[in-house]
Amino acid sequence: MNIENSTEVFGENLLEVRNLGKEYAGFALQDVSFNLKKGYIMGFIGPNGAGKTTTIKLIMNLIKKDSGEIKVFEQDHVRAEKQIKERIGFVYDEQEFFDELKVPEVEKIVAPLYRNWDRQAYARYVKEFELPQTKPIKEFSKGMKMKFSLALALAHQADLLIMDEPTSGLDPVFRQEFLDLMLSFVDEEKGVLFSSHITSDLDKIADYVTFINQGRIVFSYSRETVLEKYGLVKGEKKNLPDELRQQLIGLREGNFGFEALTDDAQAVRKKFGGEMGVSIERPSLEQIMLFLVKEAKKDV
Amino acid sequence: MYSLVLKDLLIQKKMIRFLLLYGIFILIAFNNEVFTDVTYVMAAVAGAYMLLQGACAYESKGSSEMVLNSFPLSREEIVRSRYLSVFVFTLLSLAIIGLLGAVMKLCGLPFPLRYVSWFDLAVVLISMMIMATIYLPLFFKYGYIQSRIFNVIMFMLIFFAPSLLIDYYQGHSENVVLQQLTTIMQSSPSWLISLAIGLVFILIYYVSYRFSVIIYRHREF
Repeated sequence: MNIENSTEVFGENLLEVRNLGKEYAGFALQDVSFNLKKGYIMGFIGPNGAGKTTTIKLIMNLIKKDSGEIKVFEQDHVRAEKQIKERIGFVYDEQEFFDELKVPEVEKIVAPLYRNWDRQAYARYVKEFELPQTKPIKEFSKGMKMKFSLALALAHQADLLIMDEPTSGLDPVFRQEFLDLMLSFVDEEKGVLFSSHITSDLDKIADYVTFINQGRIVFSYSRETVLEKYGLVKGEKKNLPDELRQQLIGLREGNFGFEALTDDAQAVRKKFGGEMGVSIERPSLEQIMLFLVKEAKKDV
Repeated sequence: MYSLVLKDLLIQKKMIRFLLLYGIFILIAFNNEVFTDVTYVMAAVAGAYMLLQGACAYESKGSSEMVLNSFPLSREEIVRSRYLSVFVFTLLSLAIIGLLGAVMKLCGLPFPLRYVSWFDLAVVLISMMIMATIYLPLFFKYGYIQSRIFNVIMFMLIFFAPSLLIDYYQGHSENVVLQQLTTIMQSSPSWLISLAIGLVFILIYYVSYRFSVIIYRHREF
């Protein structure tokens, strides 16, 4: 497993997941480990069914783990569940729980549940996000619902936002606005775990990227490391020696050319770049995900 | 925890408005000597049961239970709030029906034939406690959709349980325990019997609550 951001190196973690396991019929989450440090946004990526939601549900103790350890704010997530949830803003893509309620009614219900509820902050965010006060939440647009969800999290002064696919279904304008809000939320004491399959969003805001596929963590690196480590290798088919072929991930061959990923861009560049007619480009997160998933399917 | 009870009410404003119309209908439809003893009880139990079903159905929509369980609440508190809501639904339902009856009577209408009584309150409370005692553990175990089968069982119980109990009592009139129980009940003051019955039902309700807590702690979403 490739994990870069360990506690020893970087200090205090908001979230630590160690060797997490959960088994279902036909799917297993195996040996999942990663850390999220204070002050950072972590993108949690992977194709549908990879285990993102299962991991988030395990962190929130919505399902029980079979093995492993989860610590949030350095406390066991089950033993200190209530204290932990006081400081977590859980932003889910649907908000049926509040469907029939209006914004002021939600406050009447939610405010007494949190010790740190800030009425003024809630009023301020409701105004800033232009949330209608007289409509039930079910009549809000998808974007409005996400902002409302965020207003709740910000009003109880959450230190960790956990969001499951928050930007799916949002139009580009709302998505950008939402991402900007994420960036303004994070300070040196706070952090965000953000699951998404829309990797372009993470290209914009994630400090760390954790990639999960088929229930296993493929890597958990800083975004810079990911983009430095991986390279998009392209070239003509005639310039594809066996030695290079063996180092490539998710190789795609056309009639004349080939395209693939490498997890050691530097070495490939040194050995095969330039004169050998092979180009090594910087991949996007989406390309990294696609090639890694393709390779994993080949191995099955 | 009281927030969740408040939520159970706020989400059902439409249902509460419906209960007003439904109450008027029932009080007019069952305006005769045969039903006068049970009109309030029947109407209030049905109303409270509708409120309970409404609250449970609402919570089962989409990701609602996940959002509910992301609040800083223990699962025990979530279960407790629903068991408390049952009392609130019962009192609210009887209050609506009782007030409608009182207003109609005070306006000089020929129905209903009487005002709501303390006895009605006791019977409605006990009826709802019995229903919730059976229904809520099933709801917490299987969720709203799968536990709907309980409604069929419930109506069968309402129709057949009283006559089955009477048949059992008559068929076992020689039974020593039953005889002793009958003697005690005949020789005790009615307030003591009422208190004892009340305590028995509270105890059963409490056992159901503890059972639901155990079930809900193991529930996965």
